Amino acid sequence: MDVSFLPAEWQGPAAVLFGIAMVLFAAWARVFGKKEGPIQPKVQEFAVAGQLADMGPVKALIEQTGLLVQQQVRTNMALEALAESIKEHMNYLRTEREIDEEADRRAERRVDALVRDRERDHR
Amino acid sequence: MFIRVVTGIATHFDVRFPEWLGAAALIGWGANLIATPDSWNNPAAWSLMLSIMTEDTWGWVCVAAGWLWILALTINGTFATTAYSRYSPNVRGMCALLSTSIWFLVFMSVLTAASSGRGIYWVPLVSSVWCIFHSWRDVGRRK
Repeated sequence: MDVSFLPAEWQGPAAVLFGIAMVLFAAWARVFGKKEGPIQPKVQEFAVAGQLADMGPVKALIEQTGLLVQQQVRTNMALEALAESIKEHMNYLRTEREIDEEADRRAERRVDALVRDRERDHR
Repeated sequence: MFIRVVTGIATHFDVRFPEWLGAAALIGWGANLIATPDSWNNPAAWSLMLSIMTEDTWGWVCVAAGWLWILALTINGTFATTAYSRYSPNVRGMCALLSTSIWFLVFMSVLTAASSGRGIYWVPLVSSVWCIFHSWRDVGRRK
């Protein structure tokens, strides 16, 4: 008994219609597929066995070293600024002292001159 | 590299299982066509496919499409962060479309013939339609 269901001459048109349907289906899936988030396959980090298996502590050490160096640079910059400030103050103080000393010398000379004049007047 | 590939495939295998199965089915069925001298012994039923290509050529097309699909699945899963993995969903989508087309032609042919294959050839067809949806959805998500 021949139980073929599909006449052979229907295969061509059916194939064309099915192909169009599948292309439309693919386009629909691309545009209207679930948008709640892309499927992200887990990306595993691989390392060759026996070599640098875990870089975590090394990275932490490098990070800490970098932070320490930064801190040192900042400290050095602050110390330099402090030294500059001290130098300025020292210059200021030295100038003030020199002025005072000069003023004292002039005062002393004036006093000496006054004493000499008085002694001359009394003779 | 070998360990990376094997582990990468294993990690994503459950998500992509129908596609792996579809690729394997294409390769297996195509290899059978090549190895068997005359599988389609009812030319009237297979007239549409025979009008396009010979039986052996169909076999080679199926094997090539299956291996291209496997390559796309391997790159997509294991080398997901590389530049060329960007287009692997598109390749998977094209392979799924080609697979669906082939299985539909086969299914129609066995529907025409008095063949027991009509009871089973709808399975890879439905599986391929599933693969079309998921691969092109992945294409849309990457855009």
